[in-house]
Formats: sequence, C-alpha cells, structure tokens
Amino acid sequence: MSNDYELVVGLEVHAELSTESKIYCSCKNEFGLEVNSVCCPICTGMPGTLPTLNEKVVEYAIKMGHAMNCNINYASKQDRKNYFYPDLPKAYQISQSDIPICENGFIDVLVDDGSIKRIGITRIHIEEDAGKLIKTDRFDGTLIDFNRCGVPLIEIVSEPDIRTSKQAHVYLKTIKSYLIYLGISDAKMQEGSIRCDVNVSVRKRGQKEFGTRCEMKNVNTFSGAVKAIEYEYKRQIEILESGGKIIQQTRRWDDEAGKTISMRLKEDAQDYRYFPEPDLKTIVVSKEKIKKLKDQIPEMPNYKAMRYIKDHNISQTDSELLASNLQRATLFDDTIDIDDSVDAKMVANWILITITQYVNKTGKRYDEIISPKQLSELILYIQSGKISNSAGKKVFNEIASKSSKSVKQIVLDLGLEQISNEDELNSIVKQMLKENEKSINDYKNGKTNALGYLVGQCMKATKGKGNPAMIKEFILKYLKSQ
Amino acid sequence: MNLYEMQASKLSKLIKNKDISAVQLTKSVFSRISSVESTIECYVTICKESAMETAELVDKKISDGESLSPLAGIPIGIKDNICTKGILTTCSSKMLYNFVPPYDATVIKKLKDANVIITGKLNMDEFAMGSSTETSYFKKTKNPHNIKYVPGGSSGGSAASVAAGEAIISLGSDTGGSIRQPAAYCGVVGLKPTYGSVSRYGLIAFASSLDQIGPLAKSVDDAALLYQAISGYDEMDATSKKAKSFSWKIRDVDLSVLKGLKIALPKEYFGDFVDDKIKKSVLDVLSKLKDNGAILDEVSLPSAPYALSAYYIISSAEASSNLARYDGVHYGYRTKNYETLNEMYENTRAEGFGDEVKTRIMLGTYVLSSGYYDAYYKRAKLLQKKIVAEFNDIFQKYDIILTPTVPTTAFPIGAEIEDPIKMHFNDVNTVSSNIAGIPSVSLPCGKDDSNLPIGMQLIGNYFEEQKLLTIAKCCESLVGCLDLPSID
Amino acid sequence: MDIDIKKIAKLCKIKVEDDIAQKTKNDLIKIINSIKDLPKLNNNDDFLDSSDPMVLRKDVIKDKQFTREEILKNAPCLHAGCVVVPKEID
Repeated sequence: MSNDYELVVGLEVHAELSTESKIYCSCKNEFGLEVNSVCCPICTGMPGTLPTLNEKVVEYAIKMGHAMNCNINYASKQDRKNYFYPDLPKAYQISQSDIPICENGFIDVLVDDGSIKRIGITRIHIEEDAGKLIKTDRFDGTLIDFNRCGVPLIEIVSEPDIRTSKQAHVYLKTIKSYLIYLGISDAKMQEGSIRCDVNVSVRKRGQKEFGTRCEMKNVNTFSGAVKAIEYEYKRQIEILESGGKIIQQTRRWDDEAGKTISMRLKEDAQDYRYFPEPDLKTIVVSKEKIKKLKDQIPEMPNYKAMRYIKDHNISQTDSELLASNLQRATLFDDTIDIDDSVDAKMVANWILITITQYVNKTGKRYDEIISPKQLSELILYIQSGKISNSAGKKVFNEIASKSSKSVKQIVLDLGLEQISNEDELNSIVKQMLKENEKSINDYKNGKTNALGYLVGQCMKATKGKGNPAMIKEFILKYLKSQ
Repeated sequence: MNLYEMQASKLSKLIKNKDISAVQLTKSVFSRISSVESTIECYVTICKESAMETAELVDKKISDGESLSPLAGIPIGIKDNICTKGILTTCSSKMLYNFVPPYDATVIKKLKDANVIITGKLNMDEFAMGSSTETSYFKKTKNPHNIKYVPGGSSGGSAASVAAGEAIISLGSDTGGSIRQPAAYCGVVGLKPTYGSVSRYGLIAFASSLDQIGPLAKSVDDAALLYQAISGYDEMDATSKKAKSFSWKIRDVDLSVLKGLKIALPKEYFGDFVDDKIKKSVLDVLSKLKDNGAILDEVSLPSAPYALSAYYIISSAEASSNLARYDGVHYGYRTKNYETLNEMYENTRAEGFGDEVKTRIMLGTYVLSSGYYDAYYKRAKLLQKKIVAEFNDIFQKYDIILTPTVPTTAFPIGAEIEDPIKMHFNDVNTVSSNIAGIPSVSLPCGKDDSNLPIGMQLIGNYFEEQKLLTIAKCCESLVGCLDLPSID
Repeated sequence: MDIDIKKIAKLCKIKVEDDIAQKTKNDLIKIINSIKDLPKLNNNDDFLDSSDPMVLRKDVIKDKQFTREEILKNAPCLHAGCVVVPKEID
C-alpha cells in the first residue's frame, strides 16, 4: 500500500434472514425451489394487495443490533424506495429510510496480525428482497423468477472506518459468523443469502476530509471484495496522481477481468422519492421485549476468540476456530468452568481435533457426544498422567458411543491406567536397557532416533500403559549417568 | 312496486319470510338491467349466470331452514376497483382491461359468506381519479335523474346503479368524496366509513392513507346493513383497526335522539361557492332539526381552505407510487410498440393510462421528487395532523357536523372535463373527512330547479358510525328518501 | 415557475410526446399553483405514532395457496414458467 494515501472503506452487507415465511406475506421462505412456485398475490405485487410485517424479522434485526452494540429504536417505520426494474413487482421496495430499527453500534474484529480493529456500525435496517432475473444466450429475453421477492433482508451499514483490505475481509467474515451464531441467517454467499456493496475512497494521509467515493455493487465473494478494494485503491490513486478527479459513481467488480467497471454516473443517480409506507404503521417494540432479546445474545465469536487468546494462551487460529461454532465454544467454556486446573490448551486441542472429527463423521451435535463434565474428567486424567493420550482416545470413543459410565469406570473396565509409578517404570526401563545394549551404543554414537526406539520398546513392555514422558526421562537420566 | 325498486331492509324480511325468493328478486333486478342498462351504462361486467346460481343456492339454504344474514339473497353491485376472484376487475382502465384477480378482496369474502348476490362490476372514473365517471376507459355512465348529466365520481356506476334500480345496494370507494359526491348527485345515501373500519385488502389502491370502501344505498337502513356486513378488523390489512363491532337493527325512527343534539356548522363549508339552492335545501333540513330540539352552532375549521391542496398532494404522491406497478411486466396491458425494456415501460404507461391518471402520477412524482418532498408532501402530512386536531376540538363540544355534500348539483356530461381545477373543486366539502379519517355520510335532502338531487353531509367522530347513521336516519325521515327516477 | 417535464416523465416512466409535453407542463403548473402555499408548521415531526402500534404477523407459513399458473395467468408474455421482458434496457 502506498504510504502517501490512506484507504477508506465502508461496507454495506445484505443478509437474507432464515425466517419461516417471507417478510410481508406468508409464503415459504426457501431457496432453490422451482421458479415462481412460492409466490402469492402479495409478493408479486398484484393490484389490491397489502403487506403485513413478519414479527420474526423485527426480532432477528434487533438481535443483530444487540450483537453489534447498537441503539435499538423502540419505534421505527418503513418507507417506500421507488424505482422501476423487472425484478421489483410493485416498482417500489419496502425498506427503512430515516428511522431504522438499529443505529450507532460497533464491532471489534480480530485482524490476522492479532490486532483488534473497532469498526463503527451506522445502522441496521429491514427490507424486502427482489426477484431474480435469468438471462441466457439461448433466449432472446430476460426471464423473471419472483420466488425471491419478499424474502426478508437486513442491511448492515458500516462507518467508513475500514483502512485495509484485510480488515474488510475480517469484517465480512465476522459478520457472517455473527449471523450464523445468532441463527438468523445461513449466510451462504454462493446462494446469495449474503451480499455486499463496497464503498472505496482515498485521501492523502493526514487529510481530514474524505475523498470522493465509488461504490461497487453486489460483490459475490469475500475474496472478490478484497480484490475489488485493492484494485480501486490503485485506480483512484493513479487518477489523483495524474492530476485527475474522482467521479462519484457506481462500479461493477469483474472477477475474471480483475477490475472494476463503471456502471452509473452521479448525474444518472436514481431519485428514489422515499416516503413513509402508508400501508404499514409504526413498528413498536416494548422495552421488555428488547431486553428479553438482548438476554438471548451469547458472547459473540470474535469476543470469545479474543478471550481465549488472552485468558488461555490459545493461538489466534485455534481461538477463532474454537469460537466460530457456538456449540464447540460452549463445550469449551463449560468444560473450563468445571475445574480450572484443567489444561485449557489440551481441552481446545481435543475439541478441535478428535471431537470435531467425530462430529464431521457422524453429524451429531457436540453436546450429544460428550458432556463438559466427562471432557473435564478425561483431560484431567491425561493431564495427571493417569492415562496416556492414546488411552484417552479409547475412553472418548466409549463415551461418544453413548456410554453412561464415568471416565473413572471406563478406565478401570478397559484397564487403561497408565503406569506412572516411578519404581515400576524404573525397573522396566532398567530391564529394557539391559536387553538393548546396541541401541544404547547407537545413541551414544549420535543416532538420536535410537532414543525413540528405546522408548518404544519400554512402551511395548508395559503393553502401552507406560507413561511415555516418564519413560523417556528415565532413559535419558540413565544414559547420561553412563 | 317492482322488487328492484324496494329497499334491502324490506326485501330482507320478505325473503326471510319466504314471501319472495332470492331468485325472484334477482330476476327482477336483471330484468331492470336489461331494460335500462343501455341508457345508464353503469356496468363494466354483468354477472347474470353466477348471480342466478347463487340466488338458487340461497333459496335452497332458506328452504333447508338455515339462518342467514340480513343481506342474504340481496343483489349487490361492486365497484370495479374491488378484486373479485375469477371476475374481470378493470378499474375502468385500459391498463387492467383483461385483469382477472386470482383472489377475492376481504369485503367480497365477507359478502359471499353473507350469501349476497353479486350482480356485476360497476363503472368508475379510471383508477378512482375523477368526479364524474367520465374518465372511464369503457363508457360514460349517465345520471338516472337526467341522462345528459354526470352521475358524479369516481363511484358513478355504484351511485347510478342504485338510483336506477340496477342493484339494490352497491359498494363504492371514497378517497376524497368518491362515494358521497355521486351519492349526492344521484339522490342516494353514500357512507364513507372511518378509516380502518373496512378492510382495504383487495381494494385496488389509489391513495393508501385515504381510501375506504363504503356502501351506496336507497336508505340509511340499507347503507347500515351493508356497512355491518363489510366492516371489521382484518389481519391482511395492517391499517385496519380493532374496534367494537357495528351492529344495526332495523327499527322505527326515533326523533327524540335529536333533542339536545349539538350540531356544528363549519362556516368554511357554506361559503359563496355553494349554490344557493343547495344552501336553501340544507338550511331547510337544519330548521326541521331545530324544530325537533337540535342545537345548531356555527363553528370554524381554520385549515379547511388548505384541505383540498393537502388532499391533492397526498393523494397524488401515494397514487404515483401505487400505480407504478402497472408497468406491463406481469399483468395488465403491455404495449405492442417496444424493443427495449424502457420502451416497454414508457409506451405501456403512456398508452394504458388516460390523461387524468397520467397527470396525477406526474404531479405525485413531482411532489415526491428530490428537493420537493419537504415543501409539498411533508408539509401536507403536517397539515393533516392539524386538521385532525381541529376536528377533535369540534367533537369535544359537538355531537355531529352538518354541511352540504357538494357545492353544486350534477353537471352536464362534458362540461368540466377540460378544466381539472374546476373538476377538483367538487371535492372541497368532502376531502377533509378523508384527510382526518373520520366517517361521513351523504343523504338526499331535496332537488334543484332542474330536478337534480341535492345532498347533505353528516360528519361524525372516529368509529361513531352508530351515532352518525342514527342521526342520518332522523334527517332522512324529516326529508324523505328520494323516489327512484323514471328512465326513458 | 418551471417544471422539467421530461425529467418527471422519465422518473415515472410515462412517454410524453413533444407535442403534448407543453400542454402537460402547463396543466401541471396550473395545478401546482393552485395548491396554495400550505402554512409552515412544526417540521420536526418524524411521522411515528407509538400510540397506534402495528400488529405484527406471526412467522407461520401458509403454503400452496396459489399455483404458478394462477399467479402468472395475467402475464402478457411467458416462457418456461417465467415472465418475459426485453433483455436490452435502453
């Protein structure tokens, strides 16, 4: 990035909400169905029809607002945004203009260099989605599928606080994780349930005023957003350096060509003639309801990850992975809570590797597989040397296949106790070393993997129950004393 | 007396007592339609077959001993901006010349449940914009009292059908006076109910915050029976209001209601612009009311002079948005003259809409456009609140408001169509009730020298239709219902 | 006063031929002039009315109420179960 110019980015994210029915009618809200099969006179804008607002849409918007530390407007309204396009059957979109449901919030994102960047949230509002236009080379006309008309959307508008394309990427990832965490959207970019518009401007470092911005609409992937930002940054600087001026406009990101292309100049800017929607009344949410919804908000994944890094010294990558799935994170948090002497990193590893593998294989929920109490016991057993790591896996498999026995019982039943008795181990080691003079000499001659062989032999002698760390320690002690 | 000349309240009893059958009554109405419709031209679509079928079903239900609603078997006409499933619904516009709704408006559902006989769809000003029914794409309806004169509008077909005996009662819609003004011109009773008391689901929208469906009838009793059948909260209409349900019993008139009744007479509605004959007619009624113990007081509604302007701004703005959906894409008229999408839009809308509609859409677009929203629409909405407050003040002290419905009686066909300002002025006494959302009813109170009916208007407070119609019934008994005119 | 009639016609997508553009403009100006200057009132209104809140609809599906045929029955041009419009915008 050029040191003379500062990048300024604001993002507008549209997310389809996963309610049962559409926002203004009772049609099914589902993706991928046969064309024009989930429509009714209301969502196709037939004469005489009227909208009725789905209460879940309001709830979901408020939840996202809480998660993003917004002020929730207990009274808000809807407005008509008027324009003509074939995918908009009423020739207006019901949206929110001056009084959105949520305003003035912020979100802290964990950038990949470990720093935390706070990005302001200007507003979150509710609106309806438009239909889909289908264009093919084989047919001389555009086909319209109205299924998507009336699917509920929230639009999340950020302040122009983003300063690098990496921050933008992380911001988008965090928003997606929020939507999934709250269970309000499946946020699948490939199905179009999350889309973003990118606003980019540049200014000389130290300059207070913002530069003229250009908007890139409907960027289809997060990586596309990153590339578009980087391209625009270069493009705008080039223009300014050569003495030109940035023209405010809407541009399109062409992923194949790797550049942004002008779509609409300001003079052609649409006049949407916003006015309050006369078919809908004031949306009022009681203070009790707003509080009730706030109480339902879990600690969000970005804050969880930050806490795991700080409190438990877990790596950023692992923290983010752990936090990204609410069930996973809950299992972790609940396990740590039971006995704080448990090794948090070990718990994290077990969850991320062994347990997640099991989840992926069987499709079961984390809380169906192992309880926090069981996991805590298991890790403590391994930690204290009572059983080895591989024995632990055997215990886990028992638990996962619905054993109701306690960890203690399973260990006893399967005879998995690790031999950690010093005297016992010592005598085994002594015995093994006697039988493996050659390996001792190999080691003394610099063949370091002879050590591993010796440890392996001792483990065999203990039928795998020996504490490998202790065995290794004894062997080394003995070898040094020689 | 022919069956088609009688009132619904009386016919209802006859049907219940099996003195007449629904089929007989329906036949009488359709026979009347056959003889005068070519003169009056109030129907866009006549539904004789389905009407006769329904009448037969109703007769069967009655003979089976089923207890039916008061309007069972009564032939009712429906203004053509109310969606009827499977029946052409055009708003008297080329734009919807072939539109058959796949659903029934809520009021239609209610009427079907009440076993009413739907006679057909009635002519109107295109998209309900007009005061004479002359802007209809299909035909110009005549005033049954004098076929050279307009019936009023936009519910001209609804008013004329009742006055001509081509429907026993009818449904219309009122945005700025579109039920009351034609009711006045045609000598029938027309009620614009409280905003939100009748569901708008299925009413093809003109101005969403002002439109209401209401009855046109030969008598106050008939209007009340139809209002009873169609009113009530509807979850499909978010602007619909929950209120005590309206219940009307046909009783002898009780003039004692008038004793001590405080009637407000806002001077702004009795200005010089009101014809002398109309003033006299209304004053005659007032003196009869006074004789029966009513107390009359002149009051002022200071915002009244601005109401018409506010009405045009609000209604045009909302209409410009409500009518944007008529773009030739997925229903209605599409031009044959296009290659690109914009050509399709622009030619469809140029060809599909009449001049009055186009003018109002452009006016609405202008007042909402960037830079003008504050000066026009926002200011009009603020004035609306002021008008509401002024009515509230009056109703603190008075029971009812009484005014002439319209400044003039019906005018000759073609006389005003070229002068939109003059045409708009017909609404001056009626628009305020739409702006405030309060109920008001027009009833005939006399005739002018050309034998054209004169209408008086009673305006009540929110959800006081019971009181409003009770007082209207008293006035009606003092003045008399107009006889149906003879039509050559 | 003056009105850019072409701009308005474009916004509301109604073709206004040159020969009637002037008449349309005059009609509009007449009407706008007749809309008397409304009195200036308190402009801080946000048009919210918390005393009359909207009843919100429960999130329940009412499925299969209308077939595709019913919904598209009035369409001027259909192909493969979809409404057809021109590809070119201008």
